[in-house]
Amino acid sequence: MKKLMVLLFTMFVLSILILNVNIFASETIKIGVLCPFTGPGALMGQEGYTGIKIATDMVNEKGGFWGKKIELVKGDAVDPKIAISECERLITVEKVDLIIGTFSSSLAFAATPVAERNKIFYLEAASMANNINERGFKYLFRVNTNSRLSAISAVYFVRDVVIPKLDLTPETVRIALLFEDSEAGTSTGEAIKKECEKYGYNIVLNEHYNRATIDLSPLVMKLKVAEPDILIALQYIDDGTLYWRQAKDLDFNVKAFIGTGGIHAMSTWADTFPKLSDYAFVIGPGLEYNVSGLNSEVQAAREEYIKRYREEYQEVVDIHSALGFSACYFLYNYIMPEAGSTDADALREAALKLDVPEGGSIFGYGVKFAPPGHPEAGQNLRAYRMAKQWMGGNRVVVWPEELALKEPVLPMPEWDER
Amino acid sequence: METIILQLAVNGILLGGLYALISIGLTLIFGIIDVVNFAHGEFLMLSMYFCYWMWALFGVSPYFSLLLSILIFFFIGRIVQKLLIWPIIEEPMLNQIFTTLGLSLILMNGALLFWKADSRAIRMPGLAQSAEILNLRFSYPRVIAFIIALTIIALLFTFLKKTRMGRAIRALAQDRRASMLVGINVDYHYQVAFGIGLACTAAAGALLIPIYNVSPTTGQLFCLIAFVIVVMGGFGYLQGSLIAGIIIGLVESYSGFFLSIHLKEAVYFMIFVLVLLIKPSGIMGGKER
Repeated sequence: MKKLMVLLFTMFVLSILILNVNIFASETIKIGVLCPFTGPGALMGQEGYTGIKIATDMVNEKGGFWGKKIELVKGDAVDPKIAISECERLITVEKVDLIIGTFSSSLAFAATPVAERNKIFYLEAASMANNINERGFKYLFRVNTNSRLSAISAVYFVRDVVIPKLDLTPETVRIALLFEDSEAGTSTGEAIKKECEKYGYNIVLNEHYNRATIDLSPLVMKLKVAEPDILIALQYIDDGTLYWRQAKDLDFNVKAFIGTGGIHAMSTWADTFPKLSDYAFVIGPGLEYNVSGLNSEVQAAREEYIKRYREEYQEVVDIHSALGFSACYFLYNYIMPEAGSTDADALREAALKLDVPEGGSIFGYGVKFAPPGHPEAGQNLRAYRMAKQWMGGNRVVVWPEELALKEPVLPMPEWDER
Repeated sequence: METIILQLAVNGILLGGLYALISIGLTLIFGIIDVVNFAHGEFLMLSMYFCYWMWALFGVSPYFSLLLSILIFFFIGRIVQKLLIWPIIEEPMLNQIFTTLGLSLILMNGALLFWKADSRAIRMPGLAQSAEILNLRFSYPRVIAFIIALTIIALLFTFLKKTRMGRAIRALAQDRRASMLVGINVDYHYQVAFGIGLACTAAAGALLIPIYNVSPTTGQLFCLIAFVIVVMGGFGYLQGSLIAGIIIGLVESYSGFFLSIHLKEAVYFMIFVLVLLIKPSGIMGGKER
């Protein structure tokens, strides 16, 4: 009887030990994916997840990290309030080691303080608002462009390509800025204006207008009088269409037109103006460029990603999926190997050490995160968006040079020559 | 500089013509038969969609669809008047406002349901031209719209002044009860008036689609300006609407250039208020229609 009791007791203790997972090391690395899987942002969140999943599968097939596979745990951030509670759940209940998110600025802004409080590393893949990274957080890192860097990519393009090709100089160039007046247009316009002033460019006109306007002719007349060489704009569909028509009506010509998003980044642009859309430039992300500008590992990863995406989903690779994949590329190829663990401080130190040059990711840019004390601490300052030129209904990358598929055509011919 | 000043005038006048065009129908409906039609913008939007689809599906130019659109919307106008407006014709203005506001919401959301929120644009390279005369630019679609607006105004004016039916409608506008007493078929003539009003609005839609994109909310853009023009023009005077339209077009053009694009609406609203303070019955109002 005593022997039986000892045996039973030993079995009892052993079973407690075996069943209590905290005693044994976790089998997997748990990464929370916090994005909208349902609700208004669902399309973006779900696409983003496809990229993250493909990247994770690719890593797991090679054995994962430190003998452990990566397990993705979804958090459905339907709106900012739920984003907060889901972030809490991922951290306190699911006990994730780090979080990737968020594919929506308002959700990211709401959820990231939760991770910061709990000292959990948060990698932002695809939200744009500047203010996400302006709070001095220690554990928040954004790999993609914020709104400011996206906007000033237009100025990099002007600086590197447009001014030289037009035989102008920083002193002689005349730049006009034309933006719709919602949050997007205003912040883009401000960022571009500041960057132009940094280089000493002459801004001959800086106008914002309401996108619901039914007449832009006074603005077009002002532009005619100002005689700019280059026009940088952010316009949506109705106002962009109206502007282009009225510019043609009134014969207002520029040597270079650069759209920074909106209608100029959509196929609607070429649909509405089959021939007249040519020569316009647009700043935006993309996956079709000269891949020899990438380092060879990134080339291989990009090819594999596109192949898997097409096999499983659809022919045209969605940009949010690519942003998800790209964020994971940074995480799995640069940050985690350097960190050696998923401890938030280790990840943070590893991130801050990174100095990856151009060609280091599937969007072309490398990475150097803004250090603590910088107003945009945690932002990848090397992120930018490519410049593409519309021609024959298609957009082709023309900048940066390493990724360009062709030379940009400058100057833009006048209206009656097109 | 003179070229600039003159071009601004051309732009303003052509814009004013567009404004007058979109308010002709409302001049008749609000100004003459005194029905507050808050769905005015939505009928404009529907006509734009109709002409868009005629182009998209059958390749028909909006200048041809114009005629079909006028016919279709004339009948729609009669039906709307019979089913929706006639029952509330004696009711307080507030009821009319709510009814037509409700209609506006139904039409907007109906358009959203059927055609989604995407903006639609027609592509007619031949129309995307402008003529240059004496160093001034004249956009074809806008000039065509201006000429047709003048034509419609002239035709409508003659109709109201010279024809029997037109006189009956004017009688209705003056006094509904008296009209009934003299044997005018009030219901029928209201229908015709409403029908003509919508037909004019439909014409405006056909002339706008080469210039503007259409989406379910496009009507909202034009609705307010149409009301301003009708009131400023004298509440039912077609010539007044034309004058008001041109004044507003010119004011927008010059203030947008010399002051700021943001102020142009403020400026014309100020002028609107001034006109009403000085002459509350509008530019041409106060006389017998």
